[in-house]
Amino acid sequence: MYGMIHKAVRDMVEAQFGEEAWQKIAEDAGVSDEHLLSLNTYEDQVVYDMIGSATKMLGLTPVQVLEGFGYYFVTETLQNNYKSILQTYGKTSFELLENLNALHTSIKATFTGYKPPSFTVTHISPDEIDLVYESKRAGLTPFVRGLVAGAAAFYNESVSITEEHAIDFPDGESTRFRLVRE
Amino acid sequence: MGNRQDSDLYVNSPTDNRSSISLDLCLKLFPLVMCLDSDGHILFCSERMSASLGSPAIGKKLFDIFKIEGPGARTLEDRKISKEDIGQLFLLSSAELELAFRGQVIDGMYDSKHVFIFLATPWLSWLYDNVSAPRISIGDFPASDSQLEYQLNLCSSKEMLSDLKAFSKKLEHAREQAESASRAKTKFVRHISHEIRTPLNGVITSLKLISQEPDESRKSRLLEIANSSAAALMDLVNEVLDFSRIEEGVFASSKESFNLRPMMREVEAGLSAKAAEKDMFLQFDLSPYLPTSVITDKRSLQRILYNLIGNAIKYSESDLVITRIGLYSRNKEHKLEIEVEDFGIGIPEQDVRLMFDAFWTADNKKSNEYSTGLGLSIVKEIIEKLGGTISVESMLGQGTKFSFTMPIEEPTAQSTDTHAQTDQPPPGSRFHGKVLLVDDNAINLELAQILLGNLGLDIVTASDGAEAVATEKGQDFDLILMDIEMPILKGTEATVQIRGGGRNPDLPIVAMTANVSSDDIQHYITKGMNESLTKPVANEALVSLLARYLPYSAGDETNSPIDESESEEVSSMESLLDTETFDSLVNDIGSENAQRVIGMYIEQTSQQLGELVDLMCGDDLEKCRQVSHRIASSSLSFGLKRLGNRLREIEHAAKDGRNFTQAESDELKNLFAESKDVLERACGA
Repeated sequence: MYGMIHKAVRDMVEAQFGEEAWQKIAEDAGVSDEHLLSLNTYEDQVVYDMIGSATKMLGLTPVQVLEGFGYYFVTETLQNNYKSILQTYGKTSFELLENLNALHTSIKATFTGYKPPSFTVTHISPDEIDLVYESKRAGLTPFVRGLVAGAAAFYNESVSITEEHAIDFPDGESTRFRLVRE
Repeated sequence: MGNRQDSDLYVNSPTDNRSSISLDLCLKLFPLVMCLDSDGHILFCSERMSASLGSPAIGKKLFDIFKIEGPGARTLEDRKISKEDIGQLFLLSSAELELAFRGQVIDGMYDSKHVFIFLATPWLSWLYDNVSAPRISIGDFPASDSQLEYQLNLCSSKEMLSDLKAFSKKLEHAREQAESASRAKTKFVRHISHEIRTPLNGVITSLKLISQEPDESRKSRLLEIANSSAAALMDLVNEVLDFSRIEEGVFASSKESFNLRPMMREVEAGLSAKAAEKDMFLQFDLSPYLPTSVITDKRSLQRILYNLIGNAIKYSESDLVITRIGLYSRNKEHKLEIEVEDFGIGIPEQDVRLMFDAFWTADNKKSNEYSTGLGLSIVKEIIEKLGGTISVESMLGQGTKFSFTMPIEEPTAQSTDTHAQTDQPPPGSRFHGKVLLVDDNAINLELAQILLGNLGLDIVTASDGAEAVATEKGQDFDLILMDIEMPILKGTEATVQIRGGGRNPDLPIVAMTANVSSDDIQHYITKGMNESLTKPVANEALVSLLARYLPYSAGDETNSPIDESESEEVSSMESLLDTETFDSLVNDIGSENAQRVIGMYIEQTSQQLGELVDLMCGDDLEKCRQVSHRIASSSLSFGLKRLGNRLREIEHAAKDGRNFTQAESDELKNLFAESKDVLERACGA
């Protein structure tokens, strides 16, 4: 995983719980400043350790941490550094989700070691879609839920997200969401 | 689609069939397409291009809508599209439409005519520079356009650059810290080696000389030097070890309930000798709002105070050090707010921010003071580990003030039993030791003798300073309680003689006096006295003072408190008699002793008062001052406050050289008669 994810976790913890809280989490997870370089790639275990430590130190559930992190990642990290990219890839949250695979392809064409998840959108009606998330990484469905909520906030939309069910996906995780724009 | 070399490419020529790229193919590859003639007229727009332009553009000239920013520097007037333009990068912008395109012109076929076909994509860098929210979407780009990837690269590179800058800054900071720590440790090794060498020399040289010294008394002195040097060495090593423990994170705080005031007296007693050596006065201001007992780390608090006040004594060259203790209490947060302020030489501004760094030492440090430079660093660490904060303010030539806070817990009802927690001896304790009691006032001498005797002490008395000096020479005492105002030799001068020639440095000499202004006390200390005890002497203050200097053992309570009904009767004696003082005296010495001493007082004072009345009408005002001082002191001891206070006024007036009237002397006689009457009644009751 890229260092920008680690950095986003740190930024979120510092913004919401203070610098001292981050220091404790970093110490517990064995994360140092060297793990905070956006374009460096690191073992996925680093981010899992960070989430585990944050869960322990902040007294939250892993679902709360991951969902909060997904929301923060879009509304702060991407909003601050990649706003133009988001605007190009979608004028609405649904459009962005539809174009996510194209965006990930562009990233993959640019950066090495990128292992993106897949997002497939099926339109039910103009304001309702099915989103199927597939990833080789396990346990990140709550993160995706936060991302979707963050995307809705980015476009100033009100979107209800229902986690339909998990889909059998060997060596990873897949979930079907139902999104309704209100 | 490279540059065509054909010189006979004719645009708008229906007969030329050599162009092979069809518009259909272009539309499959590029979302934004327009066909142009050589004058730049727009002949055709793709669907997305029409949507982008917003209004019908067919027939309009491209150059009227867009500014041509490339290729080259051609002007609009001579603007025509020619075969030279094929294959070149075209850059078009329209600030009005908030649109910009980049792309290539190729030769192609439209409506069976040769035309130029402009294959466009949004020009991202112009759009991001000039438009706040560009009207573009992913559908405007051909799949192979790498602009989005460049954009992605640009954003992430900017982020990475900022990460690297932050990382580099941290590394630089860490490097500076490491270098500074390394320099400080080198300095420390050099410094501590020097500091250790001095007392070590003392130990080695003394021991070497002892083996060659035949004289026993000199041997004993050498042994003292060796001992004190070894103790200094131990202090140095302990400080280094403490620092090292704190640095390693091994610091255990231990909370206990204790009484603040006795703890402060301990600190004062522990430092007063050092302060006296430097003619320095230690003042302690404790807020009246402080709780009697608190729960916090007593040992650490004492250590912090010893360090800060001790530093002020060692280095400030101030004549006064004030320690203030206040209480901050809000909601459930309680903390002590403590200041240690001196009025000495101050610390240069550039040093103030370094003071809490390890190994920092004041440049003005006296060469004979041992110091590791770790004390303040340890103090800061301890305070922070206990949840407090410390800061320092200093002005050169004006002094230095350390302020720190220490969180406390207010003891629960159960834990306020201060008997077990404080260092005040329990009631009924017996002291051990020999005390020389010096006072020219026989009544005061008798009273103090009874009080001290009741506490188990062996007492020798002297009635003036000269007698005290002579008595001290022949016997060993553990403590001297010395009046100040005495005939022949004053208490301060007697102290100077007792300590003369370096004798009796450890013998505590305490001033017993009614004159307790800070100037007075400072004067006593400069003369070599350890501290002062206010007259009339209260039993509790005396016990507390004795506990600082003499060993004691717990015993049974022998004195029973006075019956409250009795004190109510005495209260009818109104303003003449302070019943609290009187009751306390009777309680302390017993009613039998009290009756005897009061008898002595009445007899002697009747005589002395007659003498005083005569003196008031005469010219010997100094004698008048002395006699009034003597009677005032003993009168106040029995609680005769109006008489005592009037005598004080007469004492001060005589000192100022004022003569008295007959009416004043008559008034004094009447006042004494009334006071005597009240005292006898109280005593009889």
